[in-house]
Amino acid sequence: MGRTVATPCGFMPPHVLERVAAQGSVRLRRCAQQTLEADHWFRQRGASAPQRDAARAVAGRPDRRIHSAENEQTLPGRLVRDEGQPASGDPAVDEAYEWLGATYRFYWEVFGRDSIDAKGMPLIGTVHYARDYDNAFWNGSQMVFGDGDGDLFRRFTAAPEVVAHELTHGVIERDVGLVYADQAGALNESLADVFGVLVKQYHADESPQAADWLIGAALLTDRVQGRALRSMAAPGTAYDDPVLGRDPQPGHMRDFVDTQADNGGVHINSGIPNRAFYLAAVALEAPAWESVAPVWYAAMRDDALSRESDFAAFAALTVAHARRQHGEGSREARAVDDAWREVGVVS
Amino acid sequence: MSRVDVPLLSHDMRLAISREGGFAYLPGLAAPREIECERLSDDKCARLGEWLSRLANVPEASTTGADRRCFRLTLSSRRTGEACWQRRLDEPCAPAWLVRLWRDGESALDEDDPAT
Repeated sequence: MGRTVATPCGFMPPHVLERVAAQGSVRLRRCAQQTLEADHWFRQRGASAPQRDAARAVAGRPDRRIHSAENEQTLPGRLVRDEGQPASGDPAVDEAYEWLGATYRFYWEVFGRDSIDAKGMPLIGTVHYARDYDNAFWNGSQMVFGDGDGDLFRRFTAAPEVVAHELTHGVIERDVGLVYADQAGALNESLADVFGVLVKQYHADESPQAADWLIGAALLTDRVQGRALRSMAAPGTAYDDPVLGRDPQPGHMRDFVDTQADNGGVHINSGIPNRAFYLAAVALEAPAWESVAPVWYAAMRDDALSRESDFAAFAALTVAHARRQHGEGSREARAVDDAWREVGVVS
Repeated sequence: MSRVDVPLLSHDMRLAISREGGFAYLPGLAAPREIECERLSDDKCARLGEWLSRLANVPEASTTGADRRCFRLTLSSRRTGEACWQRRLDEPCAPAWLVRLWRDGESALDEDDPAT
């Protein structure tokens, strides 16, 4: 059995290796229930989401509101930095403010998109959520960031691609509402990683060849044996640590992980489309936000992409948009097609 | 098998509690805590059953958002492996006793008051 490691956040050690032997019937019921609930949500979406504040919203400028949960789990918490206010001196607050702003600028300057809903929606972020909290998430109307336990993880605002990843979940939710399970869920996660890493590259003015293509590198403490939480260039190689285990991401369809864990492997199989984007981007000299990002963005917004689309459906859309944007025999179209073939999504 | 119908616990049963979701899937932290009813005294088994029955008032995990964490509880037969009851609860909705049970295992059943 694995060693016991006590951490401030109370992580359970890997002491039991046997997985839950849940029956298919239970899984089917779960999936059906999720679909029904998601359908209900999809119809109701936006009903409780924060709306554009006409008195303060200006297209092309973010409307950020950073709150502190003060180590509780009540959202959004106390407002600690409103749009235009000076730095607070609290690193988590100021990082959330800066990276949400960088993400807004990316979407506005690259795609002409005005915030999450393309209608100037306020960017609401909460930091200091819970105590020693090792996570960041999108709850359907705002972004939430934990401080990390300090043992394995640092604060989750430290990495711009993580902040941008969470904001992008809001974009995906508004544009296509990909079901958060199985291949559609893995595609959802991949798109959040793709646009997350694009924000980082755009902000740093990095070429695809110079970029590290890592997700969450700044989150890991020195005690973790690993470089990041995910590697888009080489899925499955981000970490190999006695406590965290080994990065389970595949980079090719032959290694696709069929699992009930992680909502059907949404953070696992996302490695496959992640690598496809990386391969397409590095095959071209132009910055990724100019070459393949517009292709991925157009595919994500294409009406032909359904809430339950799989990798192959998305790949076909990216190839079609690459041809439309750059020409039938263009280098860009070939790079996109080749990338999906190399990861085994297209044969 | 609705969420209010917690089956009567028997010594043949196994309860698995796992914490799922989050920004990344970390295999080393994903293994479920498993509690074998066979190893519990009658009192602890009854206490566990009573605690589980209280979950009827806790809503099922939300499917909105992304990267959110939840607790999954599965009761299954040790003999057949067949699951007979399952719940998913949002992390903020999980009662303190459930977090202790997941973190500490059956020793959490030594405490009488599940409200703490």
